[in-house]
Amino acid sequence: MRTVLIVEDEWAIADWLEVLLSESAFNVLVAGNGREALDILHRETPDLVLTDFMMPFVDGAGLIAAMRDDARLRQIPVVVMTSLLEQVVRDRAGLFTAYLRKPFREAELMKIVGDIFPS
Amino acid sequence: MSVDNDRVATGIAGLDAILGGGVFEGGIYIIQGAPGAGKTILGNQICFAQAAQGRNALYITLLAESHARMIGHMRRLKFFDENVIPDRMSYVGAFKTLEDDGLRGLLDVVRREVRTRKANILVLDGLITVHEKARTELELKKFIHELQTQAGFSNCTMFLLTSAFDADAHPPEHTMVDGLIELQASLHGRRSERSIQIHKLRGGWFMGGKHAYRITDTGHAIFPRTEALLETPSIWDSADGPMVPTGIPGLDKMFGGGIDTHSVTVVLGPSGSGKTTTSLQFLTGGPAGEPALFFGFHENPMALRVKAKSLKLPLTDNIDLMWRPQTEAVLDEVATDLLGTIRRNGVRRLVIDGIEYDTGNSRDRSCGYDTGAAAQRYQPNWSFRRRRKYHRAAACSTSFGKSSIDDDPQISRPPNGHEDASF
Repeated sequence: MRTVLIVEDEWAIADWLEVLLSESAFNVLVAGNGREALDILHRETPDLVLTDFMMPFVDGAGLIAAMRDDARLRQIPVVVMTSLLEQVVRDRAGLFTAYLRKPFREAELMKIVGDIFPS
Repeated sequence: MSVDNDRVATGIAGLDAILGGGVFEGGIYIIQGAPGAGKTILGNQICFAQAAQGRNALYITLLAESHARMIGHMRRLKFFDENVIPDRMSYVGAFKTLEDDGLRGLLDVVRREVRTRKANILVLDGLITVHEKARTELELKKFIHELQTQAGFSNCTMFLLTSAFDADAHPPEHTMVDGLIELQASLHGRRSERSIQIHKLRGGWFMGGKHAYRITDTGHAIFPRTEALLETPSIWDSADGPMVPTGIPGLDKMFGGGIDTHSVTVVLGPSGSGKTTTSLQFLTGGPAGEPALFFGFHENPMALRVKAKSLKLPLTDNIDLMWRPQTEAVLDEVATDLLGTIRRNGVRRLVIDGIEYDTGNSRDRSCGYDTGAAAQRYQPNWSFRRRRKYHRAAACSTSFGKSSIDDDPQISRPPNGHEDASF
């Protein structure tokens, strides 16, 4: 079973994603911000990270930068979910796998997840 | 009214006017109102106004709408600027932290985020959730106290948004914060009118009472009560000067040469008695090129032009026509528009057509001079009565007000007809 780490400071969205991905046969980890996500990443190596961008303590840009600095985490695909324009995120976060503009529909998310895990 | 130098303008002109220039830097203020009152819009509007000035704003939500929905709604408003997010304006959710780590955890989020983002302005949306999370009144007071300390040390001005309000209950946080701003809605007949009231502003003057506001595509448009705004006249009355011709030679003769300069005259009469015609004669009766204004609630500019043309009264470019249909307009908004035009154009002759205009709450307003029973008493005669001016609004001009209805205890029939010219 693949593991997805959800990083989201809005609890309702995090809850919804957790239920959705659990029902889609993923093992789901949840962090409320980038700092909590880095704590989890110290001990876990998920197959995918879905992250918000504007968050307390460590934001999406900080999280992505920390992951890119770590050889173990560098290869993990990262999907940024945010209300910000994609270019704004690209200017601040550099490389990430996919961009999902909030608010999004379930099908949009599942398509991106399906593209990352075609099997 | 005094203006203090350490105030921070919110960037919303009407709000800053009633706040006496703005709030105090490093202060903590509650904005409260029922759902739908526009707290979130006001909070965002303040943040974007600050960001537009190069300052940093932070919006922290607890149990509020999602950031995506909020940003989606704000995007429709003209103050919204995508370019300032996330560098000068950022949104952070802290409900989970509050749930997991309590009020202490929330304070930690506020402290770190304000410092990291160098925030000058913080909006915390959902104080009611903090209220509910606090186990005791003392815990809530400690939270507000620590927030206040943070605001002071970081020089970050904080606004706490909440829907909780019971005017009689006096929640503990009300006594602790530096200011309390309430957004309200009340019904006048079937019509709803929004009003904003500053209940408290520690350390500074503010304009008391309720002030009307509307939520438009530019955000909150707040209209300070005209009579409060003009409480202190910028120009004192002076009736000295040449008499002002009315444009009707016979009337001027009866008045001994015209009406007083800087005066207000009420024209009373039933429909069809010629009030509008008299007004048009007054407007066109001044020196060539003298700025004049017809401000009316009834006849639109096109109808007025047709009437003026049929009377052979030329409405030249110096005569401006303003029309406000008598629908959902807010009295102070109308006054703001009117005064703005008078100042901008340097109007010297003004006609207000329809001062019986009733916003539904005019009974508790002191701005008027009203015309009520007078009109009825004088009917079916058509009467002119010369009065000294009451309003600073007309300080720069000589004006006519036209009315046909309502009742007015201020105007009493004179013992004889000498003061009135009836024809």
